[in-house]
Amino acid sequence: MDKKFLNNFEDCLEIDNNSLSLDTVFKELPEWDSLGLLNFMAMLEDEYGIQISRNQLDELVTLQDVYNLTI
Amino acid sequence: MALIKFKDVGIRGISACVPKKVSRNLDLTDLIPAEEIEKVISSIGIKEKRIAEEDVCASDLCVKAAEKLLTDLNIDRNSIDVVIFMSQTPDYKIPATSPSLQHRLGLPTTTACFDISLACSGYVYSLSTAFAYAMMEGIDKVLLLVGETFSKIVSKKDKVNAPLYGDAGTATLIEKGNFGNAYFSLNSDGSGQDAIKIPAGCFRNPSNANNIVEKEMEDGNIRSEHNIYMDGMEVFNFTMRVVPKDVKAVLDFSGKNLEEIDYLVFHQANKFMTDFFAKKLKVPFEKIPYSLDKYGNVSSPTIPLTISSELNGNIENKTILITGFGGGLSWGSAIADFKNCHVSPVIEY
Repeated sequence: MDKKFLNNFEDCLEIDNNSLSLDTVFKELPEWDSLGLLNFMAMLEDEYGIQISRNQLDELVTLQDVYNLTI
Repeated sequence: MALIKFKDVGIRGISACVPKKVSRNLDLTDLIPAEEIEKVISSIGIKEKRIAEEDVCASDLCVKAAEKLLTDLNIDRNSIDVVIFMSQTPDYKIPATSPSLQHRLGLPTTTACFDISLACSGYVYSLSTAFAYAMMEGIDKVLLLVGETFSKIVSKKDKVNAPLYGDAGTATLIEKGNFGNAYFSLNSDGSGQDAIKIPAGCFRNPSNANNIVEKEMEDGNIRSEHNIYMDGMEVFNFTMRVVPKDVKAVLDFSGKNLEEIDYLVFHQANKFMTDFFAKKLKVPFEKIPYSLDKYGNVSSPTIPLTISSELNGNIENKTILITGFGGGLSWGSAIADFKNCHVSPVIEY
């Protein structure tokens, strides 16, 4: 399941699949920008029925933190 | 719950007018780095917008659109019973703009005139008001003028809003007749009132020397409190949450299914959002017209502008679903048959 989650996230930022891990500090990725954020939000809503607020986003550091929201 | 059904009233014609002056998003390189700008344009789907000159107001664009529509349909001006002006960029705080439109259009002084103020849901809402008046005994024709000049309230140094907004004025003529049924769903959530806002300049927070000054705000955006602010994340969450549901709600209420709808005309917020709705609702893209690339997001007039721009000559006897959503927070959807509806092509001011 976490692999599917990682692939979904990689697709949002147009990064090759299987290149990130749950330890990735995603906001430090060079591909993380405002459009990546929109893709990320749409993916969370579409795949997991989750919406995140600006405050929640500020608290998320690694992809593990995001993944925890989805399980 | 505001689920509304109308019968024997409908839309006789639609026209739209945009300023001549073009503002290209590729020229925003002072604001957005050159290497990002094409990616931004492709995501929001907006190549350029039309911008009104300093001395041109939304009402002026609406007058030109209305003149075109009344002429194209050969309407006797004495037959107009009601004028509704829907805008958040009116001529003055006082008086309302609609009485001046009665005068400027040469309509009789027996015309009922009033303004409505809503953001991007404004067309759907004011169309329901126009339908309600048209159903009343004693009223035959309602002229609905929906126009905005958001270029005047957007800071040119705000990278969230500057690429999005353009200006337009539209006219829609509603009348009694054999139009079949129309269905509306209207909704509001004032808990989100801060998501899209001009914080100062009215009476909660009057103009003062401090709030008219441009300041650096979040993410390096520069604007005054008299410019429009939008919390993009909040608005995106809101639209993802409510719009597909509202489309389904109005479909359920009408007893129709998506296959029976010829076109879905969404408020043109940005392409990313509309694409999301299309995917979520599983609607083929050919049913969803876009005017974003040419005109951007013009707030409430986007729906009639998109019909005028993309569907003129191709709307007669079609069933159309329209959806508007935005500041307030406010959103609504409607389904109507466009029987014998005349759509004038977009004209320039």
